Amino acid sequence: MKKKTIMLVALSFGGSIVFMIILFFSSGIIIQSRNAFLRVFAPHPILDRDTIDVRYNSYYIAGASPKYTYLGNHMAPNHVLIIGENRQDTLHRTIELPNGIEFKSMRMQVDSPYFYVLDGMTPAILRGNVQDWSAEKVSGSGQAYFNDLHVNSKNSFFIRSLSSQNEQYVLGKETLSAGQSQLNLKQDLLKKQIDGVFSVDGIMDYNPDLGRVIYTYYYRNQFLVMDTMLNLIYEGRTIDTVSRAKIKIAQFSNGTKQMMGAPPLMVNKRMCTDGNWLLIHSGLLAKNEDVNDFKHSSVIDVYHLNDGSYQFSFYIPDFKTEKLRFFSVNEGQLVALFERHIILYDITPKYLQMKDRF
Amino acid sequence: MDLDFATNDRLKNESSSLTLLIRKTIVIMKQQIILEVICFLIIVLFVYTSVNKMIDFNEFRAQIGQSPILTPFSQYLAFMVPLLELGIASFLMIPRFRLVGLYGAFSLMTMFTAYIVIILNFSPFVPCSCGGVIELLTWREHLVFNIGFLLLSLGGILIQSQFIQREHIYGHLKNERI
Repeated sequence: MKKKTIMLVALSFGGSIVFMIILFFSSGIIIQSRNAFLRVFAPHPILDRDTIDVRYNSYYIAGASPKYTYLGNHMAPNHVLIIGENRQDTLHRTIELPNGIEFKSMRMQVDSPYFYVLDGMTPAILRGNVQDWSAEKVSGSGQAYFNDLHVNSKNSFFIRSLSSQNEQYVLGKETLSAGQSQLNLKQDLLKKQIDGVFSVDGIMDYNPDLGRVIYTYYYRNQFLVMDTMLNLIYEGRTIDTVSRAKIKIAQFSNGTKQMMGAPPLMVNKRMCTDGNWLLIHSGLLAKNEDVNDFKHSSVIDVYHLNDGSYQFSFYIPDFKTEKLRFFSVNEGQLVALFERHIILYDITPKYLQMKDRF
Repeated sequence: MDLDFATNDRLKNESSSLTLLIRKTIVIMKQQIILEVICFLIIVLFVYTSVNKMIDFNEFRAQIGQSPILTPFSQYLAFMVPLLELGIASFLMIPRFRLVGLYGAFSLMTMFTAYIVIILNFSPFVPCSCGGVIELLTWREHLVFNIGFLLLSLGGILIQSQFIQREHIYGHLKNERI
C-alpha cells in the first residue's frame, strides 16, 4: 500500500516534468534556428579598458563625446552620471529644472556641449549646457508629441510620432525658430507590413559626422538612411533574410488595446552610429556561428553608411550573467552598458576608423 | 501475590493501550485538520487563479501566447489550464475524489514549477501569465510559492492515502465481524 503511494507520486512527478520537457522541446525555442547567412568575424576588434560598477540597472546611455559618456537614469530622471576615460573619472550631477512643467516620461540626451531634457508625452524639449546642468525650455517647443527624438542642431529635432490621422508611426522634423514650431512629417518613410505600429517599430539615431538620420526596423532586415531633410537616400538591408516582420498582433475585444500575440522575431535589437559606420546588434544566429558564443554575447554587425554594405562582425561578451542593454561608439571607443556595469573598450585602430571619410 | 501481579499487569496494559488509542485518535484528528487545511488552500488557489484567467480570457490567451515555450499550444492551453484548475478544485471538494484531486494538484504544480525552471534557464525572455496577485511575485518568490504548494499537495496525498488504507483495514474487520 505504501509502495503504491510512492509509485503513484513518483509517476505523477516524473510524468509532469517529462510533459513540460516535451512541451519545451517541441516548441522549438531551444534550437536557435540557423539562418541562411554568414558572418565574418574580425579578430580582436575591441579590448576592454575598464569596468565600472554603476550600481543601478536603470541607467541608459544619453550621449557621448570623445572624452565623456553621459548616463541618464529612468528612476531618477534628473540625475546624470558622467563617465570619463576610466574608473576614477566619474562624476554625478543633478539637472536643475524650471518649475511649472509636468513631466510624464522624462528622458535626457546629450549632444555636447548641450544637453536636452525630453518628454514626448507632455510634450516638452528643454536645453542646457553640460557645464552648469541647468535646463531651460527651448522656445517654441511643446507643440509636437513624440515617442522618440534625436537632436539635429540646437533648434531642430528628428522625431517619431504616432500620427493622429491613421494611428501609425511617422518620422518627422521639428524646427523651432522665433518661438514658432514648424513640423514636417514624412508619412511615406516607414512602410507598414502588418500594422502601423508594431511592424514599423525600430530604432532611430542621427549621425552628425555624415549628416544622416538612420532608422532600423526591429522586426525586418531593413534600415533607412536619410539626409537631414528626411529625404530617403537609400534603403539598406541587414545580412539576415527576414524581410517580412514575423509578429502576431492580439486585438482585445474592446478594440482599444493591442499587444504582441506571440514572441516576436527580433532581427535588430540595438543600433549605434559613428563616423562612416552603422553598428547593429542582431538577434539572429548565422550559419557559421557557434551557438554558445552567440548565447553568451551580443553580436554586432558593422555596415558602411555610404552604401549600406556589410563589413564584419564582432562580439560584445556578456559581463558575467549581465546582458548588454545599451552601447555606443565614439572615436575609437566603444561603451557598453550592461545591467549594472559599464565597460569601456578601445577599438583596435585598424577597425572602425571613424574619420576616413575625406 | 502472583494473581495480584497479573491483574496489575493487565490493568497497566489496558490503560496503556487506552492512552495509545487516545493518542492515535488525536494524531488522526490532527492529520484530518491538516488535510482539510491543505485542500482548502489548494481549492482557494485554483479557483482564484482560474476565475482570474477567465474574467480576462483574451488577455490571458495573449499572455500565454507570448510565452516562448507555450506559443504553439497557446490556443489549447488557454482553455485547458483554467478548466483543469477548476476540475481539480471540485475534485478536492468531493471526499470520494479527494485523492485523485490531490494527485492532480500535485501534477499541475509540478508542471508549473518545471515551467518556471525551464523558462528561467532556457528562455531568452521571461513572460508571466499567472493572473491576480500572483503576478506581483518575482520569479524567485514564484518558484518558492510553487514549491510550497507542491509540498502541500504531496503532504495531502500522504495523509489521504493513509486514511484510505486505514478505512480499508477497518472495512475488512467490520466485514469479518459480520
